[in-house]
Amino acid sequence: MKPNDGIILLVEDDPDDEALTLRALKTNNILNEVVVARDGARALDYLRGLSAPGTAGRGVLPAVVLLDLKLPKISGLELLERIRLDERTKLLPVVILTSSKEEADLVNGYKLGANSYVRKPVDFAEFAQAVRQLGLYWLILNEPPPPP
Amino acid sequence: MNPDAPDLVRPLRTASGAMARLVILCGALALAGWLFDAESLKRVLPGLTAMNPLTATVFIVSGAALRLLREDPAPPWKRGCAGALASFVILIGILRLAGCVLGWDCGLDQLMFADKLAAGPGLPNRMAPNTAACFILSGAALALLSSDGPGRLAWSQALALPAAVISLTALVGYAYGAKRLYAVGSFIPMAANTAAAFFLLSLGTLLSRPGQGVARPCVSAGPGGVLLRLLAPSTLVIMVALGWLRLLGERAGLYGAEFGTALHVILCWLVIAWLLWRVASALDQTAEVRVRAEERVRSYAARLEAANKELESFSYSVSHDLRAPLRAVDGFSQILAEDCGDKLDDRGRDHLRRVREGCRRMAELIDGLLELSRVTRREMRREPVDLAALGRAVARQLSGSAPERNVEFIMPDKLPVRGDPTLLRAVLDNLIANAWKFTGNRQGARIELGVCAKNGVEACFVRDNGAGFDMAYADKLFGAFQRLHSTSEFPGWGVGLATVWRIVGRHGGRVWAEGSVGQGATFYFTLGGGHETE
Repeated sequence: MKPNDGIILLVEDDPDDEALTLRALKTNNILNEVVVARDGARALDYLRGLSAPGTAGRGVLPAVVLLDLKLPKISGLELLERIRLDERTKLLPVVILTSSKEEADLVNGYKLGANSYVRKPVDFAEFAQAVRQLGLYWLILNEPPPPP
Repeated sequence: MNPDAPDLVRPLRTASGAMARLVILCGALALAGWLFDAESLKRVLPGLTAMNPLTATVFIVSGAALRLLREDPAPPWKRGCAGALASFVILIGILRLAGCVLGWDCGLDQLMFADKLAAGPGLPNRMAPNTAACFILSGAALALLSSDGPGRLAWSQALALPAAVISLTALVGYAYGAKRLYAVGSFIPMAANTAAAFFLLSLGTLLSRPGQGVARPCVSAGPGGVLLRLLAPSTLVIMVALGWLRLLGERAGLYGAEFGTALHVILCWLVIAWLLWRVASALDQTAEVRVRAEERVRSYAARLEAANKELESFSYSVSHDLRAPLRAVDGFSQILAEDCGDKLDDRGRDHLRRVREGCRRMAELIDGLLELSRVTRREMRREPVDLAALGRAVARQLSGSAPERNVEFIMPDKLPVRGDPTLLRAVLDNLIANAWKFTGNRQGARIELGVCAKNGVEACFVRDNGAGFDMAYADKLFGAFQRLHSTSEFPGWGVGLATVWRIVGRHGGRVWAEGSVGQGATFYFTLGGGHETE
């Protein structure tokens, strides 16, 4: 198995968490391109721009979206709902990566069609391990859906 | 249903007892009148019928029966005596009534003072047929009161009520001089004192069990009870008085029957209207008070809901917002150690290690607090749960987490209780994990789950032979953040037992602990609803 060149879309508003995630990816030798969206609206803009005609978008959807739930403007769950409603992105693998383990968040996350739900551990070693396994699974092991 | 006014039950029963005494007194006075030829004792006013000596005797017997039954429930021997006395009353009534109907004379009412009875003016003094009927009713009411069984009280009251009506009619008849109200056909009329005694007897029977059957509204603390107590006696007195005044005027020749009737109707209506007006304004006031109270309840409910929402958003932000910076502190200290570790000396690296250790403990603490708030907010179910199965699952998990430890678990095959499976799992998670933790330094560690009778209740328990605790601090065990051991001895945050306490409390049960230092500890808990019976 060779690592595919899929893009990771990281939707994360906390710069610390962003830096830690990027660091964890790097230390685990996951060198795929990471696009960071600081809020739900920007993530949506990015996903729409990809396939809009006449844009610079390469027309390739990310291999996986790592989605934080607590975001400014458009919340994580709302973004997930919109992704699933959009014909072009409804099959996109979305992994919720959040601090919360509120039952309501879990239930709503899965209800709205999240492919996975991972709680960010506080311990950085555990966090790095979680990011490594996510990368291995979604970028290497998992077959992405065919492009729309 | 409105609760009883407790300060009314006792006075009404006392009144019932006093009525029984008065009935006996009426009978005794009449007998004394016959004995000593005191006319006013026999017939109240000259020209009226005298109470027959047999009637007087039966009143004494009836009053005695009612006195015997004044306790509720009365002791069996008193009930037996009262039943026998009541049967005697019924028997006399039946014999005399049958005599009147069939024209057959048993002569019982002429056994006493036979010569004096015959000597009186007018009709020979007998027991009146309406008196006999009243004795049958009152005697039966007393007999039913003395026997127990479902519905007996209702029947007793159903019989006492017509006796009260008959005697009241006779009394009003005397007051207005309407002979047909107290005399049946050409038979001798019911005496005035007889009618009064019957009224007291039946009222005493009705009030001997206030708060039950038809007498229930008499003692109700609600608005209905107040109305009844106020209106029933006052309307009777006012109506009778008005009728009497009308007759007085008519007889004095002030006005004719048409005028009198019209005046009477108008006066009665005015009195009723005034009473209704009072009742209506009182009811309106009550309704206003209730509306205001409901408004207050609604506003409390809204505030409670707001507080709950706040609590929820608080625990959400604890879960999310507090953990995020913690992750940054931990992550960047590790990155610092990795990237610049060679520029730090041992002390610097030790400081970094302490920073990360602090992060780890704080994360555990936040999780503990979240768990505590979760068990408080969680909606609770009550269903059959096998605690033994839950306990084994916890034991498996603990043994799996530290395979090097050798702990003996003692659990019954089945331990059925009723409760919320998730919450009860959290109880056992905490109690068994505690036992596991505090037997850590012990050879031959043993953890037992079971059920036993404790202070008269069935309690489940988790027992260990670990470090134990000093009973002097037993009351501090279940408070949040209370710990009896230092963190270096045994790790923990003192949230687990607070969680257990809250879950058991939500089940309506109780949790407590026994132990001594070095001898292990036992945690008992009950679950309110009790154990599932097999």
